[in-house]
Amino acid sequence: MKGGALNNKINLTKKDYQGNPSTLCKGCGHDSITQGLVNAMFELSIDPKDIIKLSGIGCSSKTPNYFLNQSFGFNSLHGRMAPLATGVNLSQPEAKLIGVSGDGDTASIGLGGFLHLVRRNIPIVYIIANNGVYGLTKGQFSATSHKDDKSKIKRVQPLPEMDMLFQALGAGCEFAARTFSGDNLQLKKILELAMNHNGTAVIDIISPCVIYGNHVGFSKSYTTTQEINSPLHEIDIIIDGEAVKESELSYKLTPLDDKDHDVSSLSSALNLLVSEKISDKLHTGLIYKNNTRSNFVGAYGFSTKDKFNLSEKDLRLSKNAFENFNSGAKIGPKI
Amino acid sequence: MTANRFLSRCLAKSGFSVSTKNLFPSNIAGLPTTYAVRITDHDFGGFTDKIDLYVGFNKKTIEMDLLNLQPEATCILNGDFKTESVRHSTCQIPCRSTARELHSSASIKKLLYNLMYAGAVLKALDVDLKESTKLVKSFFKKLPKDVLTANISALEQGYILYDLKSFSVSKKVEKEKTKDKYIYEGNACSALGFLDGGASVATWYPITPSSSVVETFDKLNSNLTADPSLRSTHQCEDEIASAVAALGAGWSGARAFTATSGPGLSLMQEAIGLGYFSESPFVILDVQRSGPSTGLPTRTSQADLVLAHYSSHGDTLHPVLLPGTPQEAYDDAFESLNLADKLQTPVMILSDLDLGMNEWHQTGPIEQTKCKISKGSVAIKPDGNFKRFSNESLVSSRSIPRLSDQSLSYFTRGSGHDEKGDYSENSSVYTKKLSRLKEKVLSFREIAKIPEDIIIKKDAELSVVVWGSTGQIYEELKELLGFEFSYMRVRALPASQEVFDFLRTHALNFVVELNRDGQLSQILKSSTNSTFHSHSINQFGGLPANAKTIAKKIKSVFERRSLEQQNQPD
Repeated sequence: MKGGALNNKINLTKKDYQGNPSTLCKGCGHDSITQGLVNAMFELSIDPKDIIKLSGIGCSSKTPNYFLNQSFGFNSLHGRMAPLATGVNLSQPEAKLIGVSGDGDTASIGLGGFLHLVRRNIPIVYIIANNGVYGLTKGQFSATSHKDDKSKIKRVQPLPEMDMLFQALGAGCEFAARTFSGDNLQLKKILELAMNHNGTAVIDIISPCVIYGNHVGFSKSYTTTQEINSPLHEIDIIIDGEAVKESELSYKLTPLDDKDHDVSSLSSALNLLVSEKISDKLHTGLIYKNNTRSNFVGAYGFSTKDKFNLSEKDLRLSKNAFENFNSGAKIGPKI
Repeated sequence: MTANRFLSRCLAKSGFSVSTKNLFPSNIAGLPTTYAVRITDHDFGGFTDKIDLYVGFNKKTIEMDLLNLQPEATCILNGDFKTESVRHSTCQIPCRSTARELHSSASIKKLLYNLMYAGAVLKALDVDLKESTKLVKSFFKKLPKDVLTANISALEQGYILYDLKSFSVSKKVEKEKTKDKYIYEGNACSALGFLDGGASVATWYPITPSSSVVETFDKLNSNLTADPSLRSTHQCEDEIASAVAALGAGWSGARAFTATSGPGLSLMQEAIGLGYFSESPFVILDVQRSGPSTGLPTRTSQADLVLAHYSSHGDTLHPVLLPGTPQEAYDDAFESLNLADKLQTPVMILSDLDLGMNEWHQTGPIEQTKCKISKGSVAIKPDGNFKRFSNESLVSSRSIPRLSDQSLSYFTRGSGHDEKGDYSENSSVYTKKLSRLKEKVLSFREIAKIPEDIIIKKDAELSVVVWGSTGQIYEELKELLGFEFSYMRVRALPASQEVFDFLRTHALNFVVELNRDGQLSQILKSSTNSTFHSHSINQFGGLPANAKTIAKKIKSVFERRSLEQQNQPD
């Protein structure tokens, strides 16, 4: 027992889930995401050994460095976290994947990859750290910035925003949630639910950029987000048992105010998202959750074995098999 | 196409040395295709313009074909077109009326025409009809009895109707001795090599002419392995995703490959660079076709060499394997997976449409390699001093995500990093890494047991250098060139010392390639080893290597050179 610190069910403390110190700007929303991940994984007693961290390129893609120091990770290419995750899933179907991407990474260059990952239902916690800007390249608009948003250098956005949850639902997503880095409690709970989902869990996290996206006239500033944030429900998570499996995590949703959103109805989810385009509300919480689809490997009937561990015996063709191939090509002796 | 396949098999079975080239347009149905069957004494491969026997059964092309046809050629024509040719000796087959007697269905009747010309061709080559009939029965055994009978009769009719020149009396065409014959397509052999080499993940996107690689891999996996579910293939949304997914799979311990053609390779550049810099293994097979851009999707070329060898921006260099025969297509696919794992870097294989999609006849089956699967240096057990990218040796040990002990974990990145994999912008750290990567790839030839295909002619001053499937013209070149020459077929890049030694010991090396700008020549010249004389011979019309046109070009350079040497003052 580590002196003083709380242990979870696999005898780890919160420290065991942390990573390197963040080099992000002070007050950056992404640091709250990191903290949320650490807390959620600690509470669910997830074993860091099972996790593979993935990211694209961008400020948010740096965050896997700041949690789970002991786990392997890949900070890959701009917009290509999704195909990378597909490859890792094919290679190690039982690895738990956590992917941190941004709105630059996912909503533009990575849009195609993102939708196809969702279509496959690759089991991954797919986090979109959404701040409406490209932080790392100094403040350009991203595709999730809103019409009439003003950038730091006073440019005005004439185009409407793209909604990644709306896109994901269209591609067959069975877990779509939105939350806000400023709401630590909701964020953590959404992450916990996502980690328990056996398929692609897309979380759109409004995570304001303190340098380029936190000013008046910008839709994703802390102030604006706090004003329009409209949580759908209270989430209660009940964790049973020694380790956490899908069956051992149950949850209860208590609707807030007069909202009565049915998370298991796709049409309700889509209607909700469409309604946001004309209202001034930002609904947060669980937008859609269902369980009708197999995950990727299950849909194709692939083995769940780790490919690395396949032996020479598993992989080589027998002499018979080789002869079989050749006899199919043979056209016989002279006639 | 089925009749053509039957015909080539029939000819091969009767002992002829057969080479076939299928020229098909970039279309699904409705446009003409040309099937060229070459029968020679000495196993000549490659393409030839000289046609001895022409079969004209396509109304759209027949007039133009006859205009361009050598006057000595004999023609077997579909008589229904009523096409006359004063210049040629013609056999007109009354297809419609013949078919009418054989079957009632309109669709079946049309297909019988093909067996009619097949019969005529067999007669022209003096092939035994009874044996050919046996082959029809086995080749078309899945057809209903009445259709099969009609096909046999169609063959017989064609045979009877041909009454012109018999090619069996020509000295040019002599039958070979009894030998077992096999027919292979390069793509299927590549698939076999990947399968036997332990590929467990294949990610791909359809593109002519590489689609059949993974499709065949899937088929062979189902038919030839005990548990097909152990291997996963996936058709991704594009080539970028295919390459990145293959990288992700290789990084996390699978043996992964993707197959594509030129346009796909262009898209994969960034992923290859990431593989190079992050030292992640995966294999890319490029079955080359004519470019640039969409180019000629159903024509062959060897124009992706520079792209493959130097893929991605920045300072990169990649091992490239250059198979030229179906056996090598298998060998290189098998070996590429080992090399990728051993060197921890993307490995490229360049095949081409001719090798990949045409039928290659050989006497003897594909031989299974005696090599074993090797995963290179892998670290699994705990080690507190582990440095994933240690510069101590050219290749460091790699740990496998999630499967190696946590003490071996590291954060992989495409950005500058130190020996532990931590982010670094330090000049010296970066320079050391990049230098090691160069030396690492250059050491490839010591690890890869791929000898060049070299035939030294003693005292020959001149040489012919080729790569890939262009090797199929060697036998014919020997007959055509009229001077002694050594021969080398380069099997891989970076080029081995043997390649440069060969080039230096010859006064002039003719480097023959199916591309416009002499890409192999450029690459060899740019090496620090490059003190040799060469002359590029380039054929780039999209057709398979043509020994006659290539020989003509070489001879004119040779003659000019001889003249210059004569005129030189003593």
